[in-house]
Amino acid sequence: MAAAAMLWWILAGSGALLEPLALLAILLAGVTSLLLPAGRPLPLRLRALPGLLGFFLRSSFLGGLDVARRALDPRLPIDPGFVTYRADLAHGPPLTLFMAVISLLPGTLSVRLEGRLLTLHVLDRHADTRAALSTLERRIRAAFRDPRHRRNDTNGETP
Amino acid sequence: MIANTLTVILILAGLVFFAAGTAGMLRFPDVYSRLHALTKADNVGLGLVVLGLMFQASGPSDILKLLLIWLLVLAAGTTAAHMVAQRTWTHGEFESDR
Amino acid sequence: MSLFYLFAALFLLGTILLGLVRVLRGPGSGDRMLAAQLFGTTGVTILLLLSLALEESALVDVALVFALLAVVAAVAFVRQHGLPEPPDTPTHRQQPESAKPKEPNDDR
Repeated sequence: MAAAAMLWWILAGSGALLEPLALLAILLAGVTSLLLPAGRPLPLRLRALPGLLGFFLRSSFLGGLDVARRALDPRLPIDPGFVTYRADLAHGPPLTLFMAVISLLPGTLSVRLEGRLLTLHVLDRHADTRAALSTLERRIRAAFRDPRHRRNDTNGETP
Repeated sequence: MIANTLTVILILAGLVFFAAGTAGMLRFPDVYSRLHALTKADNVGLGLVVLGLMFQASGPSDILKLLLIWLLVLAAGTTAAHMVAQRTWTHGEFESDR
Repeated sequence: MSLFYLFAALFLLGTILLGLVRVLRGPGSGDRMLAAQLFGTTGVTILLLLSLALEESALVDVALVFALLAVVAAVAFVRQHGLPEPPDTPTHRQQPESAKPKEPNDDR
């Protein structure tokens, strides 16, 4: 409900928040979201969220910088190829997020997922892709509560 | 005045990234590499322009709207890049378009 | 200031025109699709710049809708021949020597 009100405020501006139509729309959106089968709530640790977001923004900026440098360099310093990587994340939101963010990291692009085996395309086969991927994987694992090891929940925080 | 200067600088920086994205799209040798250029460079370019325009926004709701647009494009960009890559993998790089 | 926004928008329009070269040359439909994706991102940026240049704040909302529709275009492209085929189906590859996918996997 609060999210719907927020969205209306963003879209229509603050002056329109108290009009009857706005209140009706916010109310309807809230009721609908409660009626819909939302599935299980995301097993996300809220505390880890700002760090994760900062990491995404930073790596996406670095990714853009990297590819822009390569594209503008007259020698075109790329050595594209494919790499496979076995991810150790729960299926569902964590793995989906992992696939999506890989495309933002410098020089990697997720191509295919078979089970937990990822196929990636890399711009530079000599770059240390594996280290970057395991960093990302560790970060995502720290942000989600993994249903597979519930006992780690209390101390699963990664520094 | 300072806000205007910052806007100009950030937008100019964003334009460089857009130019780089287009350059990569024209110069990179295969579809996958071009996807790299597209998703990453353009998202950063849009991010910089959005950041620059935020200094001209008239209120917090304008800023949030700009941010929302950027996040949407970011999500769309990565998803689309992955889907096009996956399809190219399954259907072949030189699939003709009927 | 609004002149600057206009110039920036014009510059972006120029990059779109250059990108059209890729659409024309192809070679595959994937290339054409990714060009369309480029126009999505660049188009959103142009609209944002124009909304300030012309002082037409409604264009920001248009940009928002563009951003939402960008995904739909990509999904439509991916699904145009129905569901994705398994990788071992005969593909439409015209150049059999494009031995890209299988070998590089051996680095584990």
